[in-house]
Amino acid sequence: MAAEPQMQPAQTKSDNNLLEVKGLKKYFPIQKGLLRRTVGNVKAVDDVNFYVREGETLGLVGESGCGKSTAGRTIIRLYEATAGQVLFNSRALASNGGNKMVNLLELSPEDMKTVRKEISMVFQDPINSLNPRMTVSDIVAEPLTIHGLNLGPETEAIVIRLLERVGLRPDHLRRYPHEFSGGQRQRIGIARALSLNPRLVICDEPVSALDVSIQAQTLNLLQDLQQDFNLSYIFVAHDLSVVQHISDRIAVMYVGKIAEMASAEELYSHPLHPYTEALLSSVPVADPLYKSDRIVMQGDVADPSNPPSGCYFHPRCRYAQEVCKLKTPEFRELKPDHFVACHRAEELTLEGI
Amino acid sequence: MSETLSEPLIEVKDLRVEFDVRAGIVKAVDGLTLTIQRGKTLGVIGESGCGKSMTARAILNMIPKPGRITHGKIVYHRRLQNNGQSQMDDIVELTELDPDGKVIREIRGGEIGMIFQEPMSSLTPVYTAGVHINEAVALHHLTPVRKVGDQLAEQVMAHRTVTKEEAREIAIKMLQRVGIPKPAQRVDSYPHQLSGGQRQRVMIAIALSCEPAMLIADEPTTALDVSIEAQILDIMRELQESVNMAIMFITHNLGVIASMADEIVVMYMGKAVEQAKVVDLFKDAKHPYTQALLKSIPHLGKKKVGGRLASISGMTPDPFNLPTGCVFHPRCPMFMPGKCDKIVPSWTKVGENHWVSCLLYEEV
Repeated sequence: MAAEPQMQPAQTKSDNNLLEVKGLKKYFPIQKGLLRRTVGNVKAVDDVNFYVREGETLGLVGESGCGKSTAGRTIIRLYEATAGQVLFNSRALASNGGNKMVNLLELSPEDMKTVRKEISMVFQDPINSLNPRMTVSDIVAEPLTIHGLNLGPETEAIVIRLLERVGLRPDHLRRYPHEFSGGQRQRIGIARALSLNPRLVICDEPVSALDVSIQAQTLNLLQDLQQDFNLSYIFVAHDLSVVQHISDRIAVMYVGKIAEMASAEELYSHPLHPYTEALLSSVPVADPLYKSDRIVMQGDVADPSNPPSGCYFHPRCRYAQEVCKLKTPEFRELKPDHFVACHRAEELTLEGI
Repeated sequence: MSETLSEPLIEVKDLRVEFDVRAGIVKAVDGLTLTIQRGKTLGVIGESGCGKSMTARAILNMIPKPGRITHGKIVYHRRLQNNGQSQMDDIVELTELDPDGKVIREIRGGEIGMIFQEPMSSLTPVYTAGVHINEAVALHHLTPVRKVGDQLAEQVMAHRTVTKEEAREIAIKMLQRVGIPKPAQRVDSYPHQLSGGQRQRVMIAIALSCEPAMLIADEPTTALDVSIEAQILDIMRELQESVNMAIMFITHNLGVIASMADEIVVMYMGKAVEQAKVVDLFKDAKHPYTQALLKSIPHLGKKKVGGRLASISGMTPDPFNLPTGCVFHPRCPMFMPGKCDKIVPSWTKVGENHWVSCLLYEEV
């Protein structure tokens, strides 16, 4: 059953939002003992708010374990969310040919299946996300089969068109995944994701496993496809230069929460959160003459099952004060379209790149 | 090379490593020549499968089967210390040593340390399939499950004559040096109780505990987050300065190598295509492959120009069926028909300590 979206003033920036995520939480219970009693929670995603506009790319960055992949997977309900709303402007569920905002988390299994035509996913590891026993043709056509759109002979034409679009040859149709290189496998994964004409593609570290030259080819391909099909991307990655290159807007996550969200240029030139500043300064720059005043963050990323009090970043933050230990900072819009969760964001002047 | 002040530590000369497998012969390293100077960092970059890790293995005489060194020399200028004062220099040809012999076992770990990409699998040798690491670990007589402190202690005992108590003290001191908090407690932790960054620090501590003349670092920060990566790189730089150790730093990350290396070798399909001082390589790359590599990475902070990355067309060739002439010619934007596909380029000097293997710089 599709629920009507509740009106919430925060974060609804414009009418062409394709996706709005509000207060999304995903806790994984920690169970112990014979009775599997829940003794705690890993707060992988903890009250996350963001939106994606039609045709844009939102980058989700952060260090490992910050919940960026979990957030991506919870949106498409590969994990069931603990709380929150994921509003999607669906075309497939609208009866009159228009669009309809639906909360994905409340959809019935049938409706969810319908919506999944509009949202697809590209995974990090191209070898593990492709079935080794299926041919390329079967892999790319499988979404069509699942949705009852496999029309026999015509399907092959569709598959060939998709393969050519991602830079593979029609004679690759009958081959198996192991016969391809890493970059080609990722192209197969991309072709599969596009087979149902999606509007939103969640890319979970799509280029992390690839060599730099192949990475550039894949990023260019993703950008071309976005233009041709008016796709929106949620681009999950840990490489800040890659994310800057492909994203229109970027959300920086730290231990399950979004620390800062702004347009790519704004975020890199005028960061408002100390974590963003430190993260940017610790990226190794491919220029031997570049000398940065590197801020080396001390210690490790906080444990999401036992996070520090107040602001989760305070033990590693060089600007931390008493208030940071006591109160959780609010995620607020400090400048137009620039959101930050830091008590001292107004007073601090931070270095960008 | 025309250097007078720098002292060579390892000289690799025309090295070839081949794998004889059912489908044919793979030349993992094909005629590589390089020199590692005492106390300096040599960066080795290249894409996966270019032979950079195999070169490191060859230096330690640890080529996994069915691979073998078929040609070339690796000369190690060994310096033996007798009770601190008297020094003895000795020249050892590493490829001629018995891979299971006493000398190479003294050198491995003792004089040439190594850290790997995956600190977890390097520290937990429970899995016998952890092929390459197990060899090194077995040499130091480590048993499968052991505490971090014991691993350090074993290393010290294998190469020096110290008592058990002394070894533990050294282990604690080393952990402290690599920046592990509460080293006296951490010395009793099992690897799974440590975070990824701490595990890599333990790896470095093990490698450095015998004060090696050289450290081979094979993608040491690839599995780590940027904040931890920055910490580890800082530690490596500090320790290098304090013990005057040479580092062979293998990576595919151009950002990391820019800040670490003195000199860089770029490899492609088992061959060195260019070698230069770090600044020359980044500012004045000669080989089309190096130029393309540098252009294909997105630069942090730089505004997008046209929004596209310059990519290298095509893929790395099939190792069983290498292109004729220059191996890079099918992907090269500067391809000269009739030349590049026929003539194998030779190692040409194009500047002070700047060498390249490309027909653009040769009179043919």
